[in-house]
Amino acid sequence: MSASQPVFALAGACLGHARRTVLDAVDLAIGQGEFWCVVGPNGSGKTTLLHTLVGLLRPLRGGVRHHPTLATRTALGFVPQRCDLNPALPTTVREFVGLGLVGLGLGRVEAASRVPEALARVDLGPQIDTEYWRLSGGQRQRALLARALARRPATLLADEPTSGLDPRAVEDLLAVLHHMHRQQGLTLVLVTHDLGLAARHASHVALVHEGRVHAGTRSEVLRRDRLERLYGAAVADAFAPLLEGSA
Amino acid sequence: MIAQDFATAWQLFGPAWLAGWLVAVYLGIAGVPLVARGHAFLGAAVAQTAALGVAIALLLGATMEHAHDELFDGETVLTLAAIAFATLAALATGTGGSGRAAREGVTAWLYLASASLTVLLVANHPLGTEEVKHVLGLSVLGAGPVDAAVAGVLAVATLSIALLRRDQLALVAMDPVMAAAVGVPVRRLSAATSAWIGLGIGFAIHASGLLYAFGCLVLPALAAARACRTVRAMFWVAPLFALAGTLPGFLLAHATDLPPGHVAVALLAALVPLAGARRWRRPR
Repeated sequence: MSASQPVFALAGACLGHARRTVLDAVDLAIGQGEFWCVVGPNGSGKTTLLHTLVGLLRPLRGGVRHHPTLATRTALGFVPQRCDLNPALPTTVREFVGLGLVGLGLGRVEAASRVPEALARVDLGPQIDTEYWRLSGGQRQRALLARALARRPATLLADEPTSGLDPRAVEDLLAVLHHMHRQQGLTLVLVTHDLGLAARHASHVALVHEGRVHAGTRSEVLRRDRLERLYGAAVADAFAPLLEGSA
Repeated sequence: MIAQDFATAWQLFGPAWLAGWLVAVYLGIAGVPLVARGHAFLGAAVAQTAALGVAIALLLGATMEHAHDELFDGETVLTLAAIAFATLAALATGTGGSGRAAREGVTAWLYLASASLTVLLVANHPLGTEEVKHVLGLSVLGAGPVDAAVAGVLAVATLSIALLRRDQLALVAMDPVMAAAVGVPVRRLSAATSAWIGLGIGFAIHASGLLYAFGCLVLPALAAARACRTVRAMFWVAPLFALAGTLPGFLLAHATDLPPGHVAVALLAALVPLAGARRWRRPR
């Protein structure tokens, strides 16, 4: 094992599904302890990139190199964009989060202790025995995050974890992630269409646009000229203060 | 008096009742992933496709008179046809990642196509209509000791699988994307579950009829979904509901001289709203 070896590395990879190319010539190396935001317009291929990293999609060409310990199935935490549960299904917050431990081979006692611990991290501790359907939209989003955190991941990949949350809830959730990032060296890959979030929090950014991925440090990628070209002058102007602060 | 009456009836119907109860336990557990995925109607389509298999076997048998008499008797051929068609139908409707709405469409198509073809294929067959009516309207009493033994093996195997793989099955039913992300072989597990359901329905439809097979697959799981607080608990509670409907159902049917399968399904259906009422009264 090598700490300097990237958690994920793609070189010239072609990504997509059902033989349809979504992203081509993808070069990306995500290092341990980095905080990545994958940004881009709707439908640009952000989720395709994330699903490839998680292993839900295989590259159409090229490959993904996974770190031998930091990017294994047991070391990854994954927060999907949404969870389309059958509304007639009975489940509690405890069960919902506990099922995130599938595949870890934990004993009953260890598994039972992980759930309240993960829920406490996202301030859902008191709701542990509540029926899942009684949670608000924001609480369900936090339950999704708790389900991933219960695995005590070395690397967390989240698909738009802040969508549908009010600004306060977004900041609370990011505070949790930041804390784990700093204290535990958690590697983070967040998909978001919120450029502001990326500009404020990420150490690295992958900007996905028209089938290409522009990846690098925040200041390398979030440049005014690039944003103006991709999103127009109005958007670039709006983000100028954030970009200057981050440079 | 009641005990003596029951003992006499057991001598006559014991194997059939036993087969019916074991089929109920087996299908009661197998139905949980279906109901959890919101795909209960798949059971009706699969059962109807099993009937189509019986119709096609009858047609083929009519053109191959006596050719296989020494290898297979008619009952075995019909059972194998029902199992083969039910399994194929379950695989076609229960796997694939095309989404719930698309699967509903395939299920509805399969049900309607099978229902119409079954009748059309045997309409002019000298025995076909009678045999298909027999399959559709059969009510448990046709099952024998071999059926009871096979149902027992299936019930024990299903219970064991549910115990060993309960968390994986629950996660796949609730969130297949997450399940795949944590390394659960979702496609293989879905295919195995579908094949198992197809096998069960194909067997059960021959032993106990279409209505009973579909009823035992769906109603205990529906009742469990209303009574339980967790998906994992449904795997335990559904077979108990299956027995709660079919045990008294057969005895009531015997006492009132009504078809046992139909009485059991009526009781199972009554349990569903009752199970819901129990849940709403429970403190949270």
